[in-house]
Amino acid sequence: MNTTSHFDWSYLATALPLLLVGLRMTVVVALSCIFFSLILGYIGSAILYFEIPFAYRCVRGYIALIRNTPLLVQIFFFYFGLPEIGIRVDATLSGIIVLSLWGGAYQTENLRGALLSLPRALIEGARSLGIHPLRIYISVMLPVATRTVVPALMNTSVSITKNSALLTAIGVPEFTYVAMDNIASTYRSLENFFALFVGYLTVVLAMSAVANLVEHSLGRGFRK
Amino acid sequence: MNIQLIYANAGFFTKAALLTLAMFAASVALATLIAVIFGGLATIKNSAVRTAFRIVIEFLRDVPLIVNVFFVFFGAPIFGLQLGPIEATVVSLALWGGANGAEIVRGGINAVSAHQIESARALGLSRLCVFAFIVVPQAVRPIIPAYAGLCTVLLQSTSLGALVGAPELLKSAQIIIERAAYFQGGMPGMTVYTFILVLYFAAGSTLTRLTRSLERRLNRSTQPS
Repeated sequence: MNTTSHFDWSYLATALPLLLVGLRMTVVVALSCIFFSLILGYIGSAILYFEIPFAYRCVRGYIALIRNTPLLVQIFFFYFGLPEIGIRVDATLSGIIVLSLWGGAYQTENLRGALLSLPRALIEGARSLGIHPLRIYISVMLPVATRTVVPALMNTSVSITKNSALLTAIGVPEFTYVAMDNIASTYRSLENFFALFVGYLTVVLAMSAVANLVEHSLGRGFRK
Repeated sequence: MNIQLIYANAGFFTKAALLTLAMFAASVALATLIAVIFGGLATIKNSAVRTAFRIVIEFLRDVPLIVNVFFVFFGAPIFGLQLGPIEATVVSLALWGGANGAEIVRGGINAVSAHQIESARALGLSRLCVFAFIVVPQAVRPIIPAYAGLCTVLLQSTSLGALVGAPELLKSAQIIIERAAYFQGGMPGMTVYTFILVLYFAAGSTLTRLTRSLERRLNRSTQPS
């Protein structure tokens, strides 16, 4: 019998509802991680920029740790290691936490670069108007810095989305998990891998399109 | 934390770490080969060839690496290509790294000024000679930081082999943890995962330091004296 080597559209149609549930999970996880990683990025880059004494070293260490170790090991450490000292979080939530922390380190670096490249005149001008430094950071520096760094932020966001596939390893029922589970139960690898490729390509290309829109709308009024 | 566990399994960890390094070296070598070929072909004037390679590169870049690994390990046997877990991991890392590297190489090649190429052509060098002796040496220097970043990602991505059963560092750590949890109890997870995090960290930061010194050395030769 040679059933597994032929592409079976009708099987794909029956598997589709379940795959879409998985894809929705991937999108939900990715969006929440992107959101939290951006918050971490804004806080972290502010700490690095203002060189707040103790926090500065902490953020530096956090970035070095996240960037120099594999995400998969971080996930396992959090999900299988931490319960031994009493921190027990369920799979989806720990996935979101680890992925947000991971993305946060990269977003911090992205935003720090943008903050450092701001023209001095912008900050000095705001200071000379007597605005509080925190206020300057929030209302002057952040909007201008964000605008210049949208491509890098979106790059990291796409990486976060793709890396959400790693959460399969701890049993988060996202897209890859559903597809691999289908393969394990029906041996229909061709159809499921096809669905995976199409699904991830769609999500990533959609994100690139959104990135272009965001870049365009943030850049409005600044083009010569 | 029981450090004893690490000592007791030192040999096992050494073997796993060496396998991780070997997988890293193999995937970087293969990825570089693919990157130079694909990146070079993506700059060719013929637009059909260029588009075809752009599509392949985009496709490989947009799909999560772990899906690639799963595809090569679980999916490729349908097409008659049966690979072991280690080989499958290396092949998929090489393909993925090659696609990402091709983008970097393409950027480097495009950054070489057209004068250089035209002058070399005017001197009568063949196209292959121009590529090998004029374009490549000049394209290498600006792409080093990006390429080093790619190598760091590849080093970390060898851990994906654990999910298809390659006995590299992460998989071996899991084996030791399970064994220890079964026979000894305590908290082996914290100990062993912390230990391999430290190992990966040391390897990653060594790689970063090496690239910095390489960059400094290559830049020294271009300083006007």
